[in-house]
Formats: sequence, structure tokens, C-alpha cells
Amino acid sequence: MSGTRRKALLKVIILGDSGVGKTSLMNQYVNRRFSNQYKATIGADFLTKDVMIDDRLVTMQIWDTAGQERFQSLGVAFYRGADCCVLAFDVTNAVSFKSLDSWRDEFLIQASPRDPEHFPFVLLGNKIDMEANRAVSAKRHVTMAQSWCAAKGGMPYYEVSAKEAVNVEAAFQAIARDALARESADTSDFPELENNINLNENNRSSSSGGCNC
Amino acid sequence: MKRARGIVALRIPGVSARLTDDGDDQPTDEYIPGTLAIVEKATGVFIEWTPQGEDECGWVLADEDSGHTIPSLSPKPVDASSSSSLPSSGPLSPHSRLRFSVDVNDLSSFKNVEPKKGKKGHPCIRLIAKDGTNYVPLYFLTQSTKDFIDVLQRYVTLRRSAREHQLVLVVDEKAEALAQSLSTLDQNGDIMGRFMHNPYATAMTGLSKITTFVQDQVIPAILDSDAVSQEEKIRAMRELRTETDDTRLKISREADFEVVTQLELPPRPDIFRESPVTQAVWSSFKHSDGSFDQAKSHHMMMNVFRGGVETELRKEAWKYLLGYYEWSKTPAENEKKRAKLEKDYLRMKGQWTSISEDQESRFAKYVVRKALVEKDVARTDRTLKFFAGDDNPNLAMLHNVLMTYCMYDFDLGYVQGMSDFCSPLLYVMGNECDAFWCFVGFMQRVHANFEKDQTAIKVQLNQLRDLLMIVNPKLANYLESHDSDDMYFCFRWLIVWFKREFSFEDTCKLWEVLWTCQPCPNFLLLICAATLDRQTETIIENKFGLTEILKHVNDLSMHHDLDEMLTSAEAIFHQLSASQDKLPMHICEHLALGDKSVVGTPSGDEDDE
Ligand SMILES: Nc1nc2c(ncn2[C@@H]2O[C@H](COP(=O)(O)OP(=O)(O)OP(=O)(O)O)[C@@H](O)[C@H]2O)c(=O)[nH]1
Ligand SMILES: [Mg+2]
Repeated sequence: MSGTRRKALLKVIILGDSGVGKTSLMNQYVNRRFSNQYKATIGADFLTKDVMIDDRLVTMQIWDTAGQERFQSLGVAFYRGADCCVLAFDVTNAVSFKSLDSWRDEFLIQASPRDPEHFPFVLLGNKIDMEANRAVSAKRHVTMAQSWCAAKGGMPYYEVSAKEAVNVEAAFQAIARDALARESADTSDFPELENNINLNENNRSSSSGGCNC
Repeated sequence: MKRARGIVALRIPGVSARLTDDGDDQPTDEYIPGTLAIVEKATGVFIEWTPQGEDECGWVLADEDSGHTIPSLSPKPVDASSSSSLPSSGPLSPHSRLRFSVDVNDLSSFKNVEPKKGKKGHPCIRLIAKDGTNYVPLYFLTQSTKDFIDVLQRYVTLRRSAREHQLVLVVDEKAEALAQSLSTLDQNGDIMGRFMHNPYATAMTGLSKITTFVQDQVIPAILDSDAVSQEEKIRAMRELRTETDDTRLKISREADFEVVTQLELPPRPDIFRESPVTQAVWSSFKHSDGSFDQAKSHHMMMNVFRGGVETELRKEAWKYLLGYYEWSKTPAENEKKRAKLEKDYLRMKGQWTSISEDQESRFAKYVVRKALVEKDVARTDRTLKFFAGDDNPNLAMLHNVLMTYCMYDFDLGYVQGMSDFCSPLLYVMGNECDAFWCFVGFMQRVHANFEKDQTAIKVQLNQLRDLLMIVNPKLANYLESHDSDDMYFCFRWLIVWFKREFSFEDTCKLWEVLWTCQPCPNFLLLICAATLDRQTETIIENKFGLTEILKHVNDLSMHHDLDEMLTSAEAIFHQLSASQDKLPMHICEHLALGDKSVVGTPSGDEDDE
């Protein structure tokens, strides 16, 4: 009975400075659990979670990477084929907000998605449970994040707490829904083949599913 | 919330998950009792394991159908719009994170380990998913695994691996499905033609090499099935290519035109670990004045290499192994050195502890480093009693040692992973000064791992690939054809010397072996090769690709057998050493074979049991 079922795979990459809470967010979403015993991430790993999105069974494959900058260069092969990139910063740490641009750029360079202009990013501002320690006042912060998102083509922004499980589920659900919508909007897996093909063009035929070459 | 109901096809209580955590000062092997079930649901057939105490209550029994029915087990699959109503959103029992549910369609294989004949123990099953995920090992305490396997066979076809008898594979019926979907080729016929002209895809699939069967049947079918991701499609195509490549195993290195046909290595010798060096043995090696002469210190290194040191001896022995104390010096001389270095430590510690908040406001580089250290101290081995709890003074010590190291080597500063190296040193030494100088000694060996350009790590990964080409060309070729010959999946192993793969105690054992630099300087690489060697069939027969290999290797964490790894690595060393005249130059260089400054195969009396 399960043979006919079709399951979509959504690959989601979480990027952001070390310590912003990427590992905590992933675990909160997948395992509904927060622990202050997680270790700093070395290398890359993923967890999967099956969810129903509008009667469609979807496997979310959520990739957690190291925020330590110098470790990034080696693990970028795994950015490829991402369906969505989640950028995370820590609302109590202004530096982590400033780094967002370079995380986004780095992703676009390494993942080289087909349509970088419209590649789905989502911004998460984590640790809102530490309201009192906010680097900038809560209100200003939201404004800052929102205007940054607006400048990036209307990137959705969520304020979350991995610790208190605030908004995490909702944010990831929206991510899944959005990525899925784009997926089905794609008319063909090989859109660049629809028209005349230039054989010499070094065209990366990776659609949203992508490949790792 | 939509309630997914299910029919329980099999339910076996008395199936325990084995938790091998790094959570204690002593390695703990804990069996968590629970229930294994195979459940038919509207969304598929699931294998589910639930720890005792939360089983059936988590499965909220449904009242429909005859017999027992069970709704879905979170976190799989849930109605996404109603997260708040999930049973597991409440407080969870400590072991609930072990609970799992896996769709049989996502199952790639399982390891079925029976206890050795005549030995006590329980049969064990460890499920491996198609994405490389390894689930927690399950031990059948009250019955054999037969019922489980029988019932599972109702849903999937199983085949025991011919090469590795513990591995049971779920036979992929995709081939059949692919053939079936040929009928839909018409819709996509044109795409197929264009696809064949896509140079990118063509290069990857090596279409020139594949058989007509593949061209005619498989590729169109792959293209057709939109349920599989792009990555999967391309991987499937690559696999087809590998199958044709498999027959021509050879090593060719275009870079230096070194072509080696597969090298016959002599059989691997049996190696046994010895017992750890005791305080008594250690003392007996010393001269009457408490120093070690060169021969004795070398002999001691060999002993440590073969068995490690007793826990109680670590505090003394590690100081020598890390070059903080000198073998040739008397205890009084070493003590004098220590007193001097202690002053030095305090001087450097004073340099940062005296930075005022006002200074900090104009010292951004320093503030960033401090924040990094603080963040990592809070995340280093916190499950260990030694570092557990808030306001633990040992956390402050770890912080002080790492901050002082920043002053000692400001050019490097603090890089993640360093706290992993420091924590066992502090644990064993128990004080900042000794931990610091041992850390300095350790960092001398691994400094390059943390440098900005990461060249050292890339070099090591390349050397590992070279070694694997000799030790296990089959696996090396497989990795190459699956985009994994950058060996990135071993990155974590190398950068922190397996700290994340072993219990704390085993990490200590491994490190003291490695500090001896026996039997060759790059023994760590041989350990990596030996560890991968053991995974050969699992990786190849599960047809793992880039993503899956990484996941599988990550999931081996805390499930390695250290003694086995060490003895295999040593055996491989002997194999290579015995064939060094036939080995390519670069391999000899990686292992410093033929280099007289490192004693390779210990000859004569020392080697004999
Ligand atoms: N108060 C609070 N602390 C959090 C939250 N999320 C994470 N943390 C803490 O922040 C620290 C860093 O969290 P991680 O999840 O390890 O951060 P990361 O982004 O994965 O860091 P790297 O692995 O180094 O890249 C940990 O000490 C967490 O306990 C949150 O929502 N609230
Ligand atoms: Mg992390």
C-alpha cells in the first residue's frame, strides 16, 4: 500500500555564525528538544523529519553546518541541491547580524542555484527568550531585520527561540510550504533544455534537486 | 489533527536500545528497555521502537478496526498544522530522543549481529536508512530476531550480503518499477533525446560506457519518476556507471604519471592489544635518579603504544608524552622547569585578566575571541560530571587555559575544536598550569589543523585517499565514483583526533597511543583507513552516495570499537611496511616508511609475544 506513495525531499541548509543556535534550532524542530549540552558543530550533518504539507508527505532534510568560518571551505559540496537556505543570527549578538550578507553570498556562490535572484532564503532571529540582553532594543531590531529582508527581495523573517520552542515549528513549516510550492511550480526538471541548447555552455543542469558535481 | 491509524503486524517487548554515551567519566553501556513494532498505517509500513514507560501511551490507541490499532508515532508523520496537539510536545522522558519510527520504504539495510558462539550476549539489529542514517542498535533480550525478520519480509525483499554476513540488504525493487514506467516514456520521449545531448549529464553518466539496457530502459525511467529527487536520479545514473567500472580496478594517478596496478599486500597479521602500563612498570623503567635513558624511554613509548597507560598514571605519563616533562631529566629538574613554566603561565594569564572593560570597548578582536571561547567552553563535554552544571569551577579553568593560550599564540588565537583537545588534559591534570603546558605540547602537533587556510587538513585528507587506494582500492574507487574522494566525511575524525567519535575514556586511550608517534608519524591516517576498511561493504552494498556516506560515517560516532581499530591499523601498517619497496614513493613518504628516525616494525625481542 505504500508503494504508490510519493514523497518529496526538501533539502534545507542552516547557515549563520558560530553560536547563533543552528544546532539547537534543528534539534528543536526535529526532536522537539533543547539541550544546553550540544557541542559546537564540526563538519556537517543532517537530520530528517517527515511532515504532511497539505496532504503531501514531505521529508525535510535539514543540514546543520559549522559556523566557524575556516571550516566552511571544505563542506560546501553539501550546499548544492538545497531547496531552501535558512540564515540564522542571534538577536543578542550584533556581529552575527552583520555576517548575514556574507553567509548569503557564500551560499549563492557555492550552491550556485539555477535562479539565484529568486532562490528561497528565510531569516531566523534566534534567542528571543533573552529579550533583556538584546544587542539592540527589540523594536529596532525587528525593523533592522525586516529592512534587511526587504532589501533581499522580501525574505521572510521569523523571531524564534530554540530554547523555549517559540515559533520554530511555524518557521520551518513555512519554509517547507514555500519550498514545496516552488518545486511544483517548476515545469520541468531540465528547463534549460526547453529551448535551443548551447553545447559549449557550461550549464549546470541542477534544478532545485541539484547535484553535487 | 488527522489521526493516522495503524495495524500492528508485530510487537516485541523486551527489545532494548543500547546507549553508548560519552556522558560519563567511565564509558557506560546502558540498555534502555523498550518495544519494537512493525505497524501498517495509511501512510506506509513503519518499524517503530519506543522506550518503556512511554510506549503505548505515546501511541494513543485508536478504537477502530478489529485487533489492535495504533495511530502515528511522532515525530513521523505528523499533521503539520497541529504541532501543539502532539503528545511529545510535553516534557519528555530522558530516553525519548532514542525513539524512532522508520518507513520500510526508507530502509536500505540492517546489521544483524548474533552473539559469538559460546559467548553471552544478545542478538542485535541496527537499521540503516537509505539516506545513511543509522538508528540506535536494538538488542533482542527475550527472543531471537527471527520473528522480526519474518514479518519484515512480508513488506520488503531481504537479501543477506554475500561479502559481509552481518549485513542484510533490502532488495531494491526500483529496477522493476523502472521497467514498468517505461510505458510512460512517450510523454517524456523528447526530453530523453535532449538529455542525451546535455554535455554535463553526459559527462557524468559516462554514457559511452553504459549498456544499451541502461540507455533504453533505465535512464528514461529515472527521468520519469518525479518522486525521486534530482540528486537521487543523478546518483542512480552514476551508480550504473560504477558497476561497469568495477571490473577494472586499478590505480592511476595522472598527476605524477604514476600508474600502479593493484598491489598485492601480504596478509594482515594478527595483532593483540596489551594491558595498560601500570605505575609499577613505569617506575621500573626509571633510573635510580628518576630519569629515563633514551633506550628506556623509547621502550616505554612502545609499551604505551601497545596498551596505553593506567588511569592513575596518566597525570604523570602524559606530561612526558606531550613533551612538557623531559624523559632525560630527573624529577627535581622537571619540577624546576615546572616552577618556571608556572610563573610563565601566570604572567600570560595576567595579560588578559587585566584588560579592563574600558579597554575592551576599543579591542574588538579580543572581545570576539573571548566570546568564542566562552561560547565553546559552555559546549564542551558538558555531559561529563567534571564539566556538568552551571557555575562549575572546572568550566572557569577551561576558560582560563584557552584564553591564556590566546595570549601565548595570538596569531592563531582560538579556533573551534581546540576546546575538545583541551578538556581531557584539564580533566587529567586537574589544574590550569599543567593542563596549559600539556595543551601547548599537544597544539604543537595539531596547530596546522586550525590554521586559516586549512591546507593541513586538506593534505591529510588527500593522504588518506592515497592510502586507501593501496589498502582498499575497491572502496577508494567506489568513493571516487561517488564524488566522495575528497574524503570530507573524515574531516571531523582528523581535526579533533576522533574526539567526537569515542567516549571520553576511549579518547584518552587513543590519544596516548597517538602521542607516542609509533609505529609511524601518521598513524592517525592508518586508523582512519582501518575504520573505513571495515565499512567497505556497508557503503558499497547500500549504494551510498556523497550525502549518505557522510551521514553513515557521522552516525558511527560512539559505535566504534577502539581496540579493533587500533589493531587493524597496526596490522595495515605491517602490511605496508613489508611491501615498502613496491609502494609508490608518496605512500612511503606519508608514513615515513624507510625513515630511520622512526622505528617502524619493532624487530627482534620487542615484537615477540
Ligand atoms: N537562551 C537561548 N540560548 C540558546 C538558544 N539557542 C541556542 N542557545 C545557546 O546558544 C549556544 C549555541 O547554540 P548552538 O545551537 O550550539 O549554536 P550553533 O549555531 O550550532 O553553533 P556552531 O555549531 O558553533 O556553528 C548554546 O550554548 C545554546 O545552548 C535560544 O533560543 N535561547
Ligand atoms: Mg552547531
